[in-house]
Amino acid sequence: MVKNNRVFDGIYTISIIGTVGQIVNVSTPQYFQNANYLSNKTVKAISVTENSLSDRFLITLIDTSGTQLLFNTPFRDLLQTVNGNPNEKLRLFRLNNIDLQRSYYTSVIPFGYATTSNIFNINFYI
Amino acid sequence: MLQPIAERTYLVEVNVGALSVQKQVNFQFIPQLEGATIYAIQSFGATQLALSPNGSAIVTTAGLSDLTVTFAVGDNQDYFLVPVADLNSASISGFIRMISDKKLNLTKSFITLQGNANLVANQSVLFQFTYRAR
Repeated sequence: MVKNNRVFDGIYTISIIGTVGQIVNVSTPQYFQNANYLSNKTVKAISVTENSLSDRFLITLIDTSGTQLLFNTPFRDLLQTVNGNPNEKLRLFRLNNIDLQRSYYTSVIPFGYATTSNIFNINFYI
Repeated sequence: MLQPIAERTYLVEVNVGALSVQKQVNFQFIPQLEGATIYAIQSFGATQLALSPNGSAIVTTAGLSDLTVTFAVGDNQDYFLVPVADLNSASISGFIRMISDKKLNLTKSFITLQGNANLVANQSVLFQFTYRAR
């Protein structure tokens, strides 16, 4: 079978958890994680889960050589649905060697967490 | 419909400043996009992002309809008075408008305020360029 960018070998999901008392300041990078699961893989698509804060996040992805791949992509553009209609909305990419230790999200509005809870999931289709 | 496979993207902010019909606001110089091959363009309004990265209010979805954008390639205005609302994915079923590979001259590209009924002074509009590095 010929593989293309809509045929995925796996999905790697990161759950971003906010803890009680944690403050997220404007433009301060919130790095995804220490594990570098994507460092030798090609990401073919990315999606995220909706939440009440999703209109304030920007995503920046950087590869293992330090090159910016995505700069300030609005979080809501990575949602799979538009008004509940998933028309062709999965955003397709060809991103090699993403470094999750250097990649981050930022917020354009500061906020804190009253309870420990999931903020969002980001799904990398490989 | 064909959709782009993005290798790199870059978000650019343009502030409308004081309101005046037919006013033009040029894009600033963006080093990362200089000489880059751009093959898709999106615009974003307040529905997608609550504030701009620089802290400015964002043009509403209705306000996007008051704006057009002209993109230059070299000195030629290859994309002339494109409705900014037509580049807003959320308004066009999630699609991303693709263009043939172009090296856009951003400092000679500009937005034009065709009206200001739905705009507020000093709001920003956001453009995301999908590109291939030099």
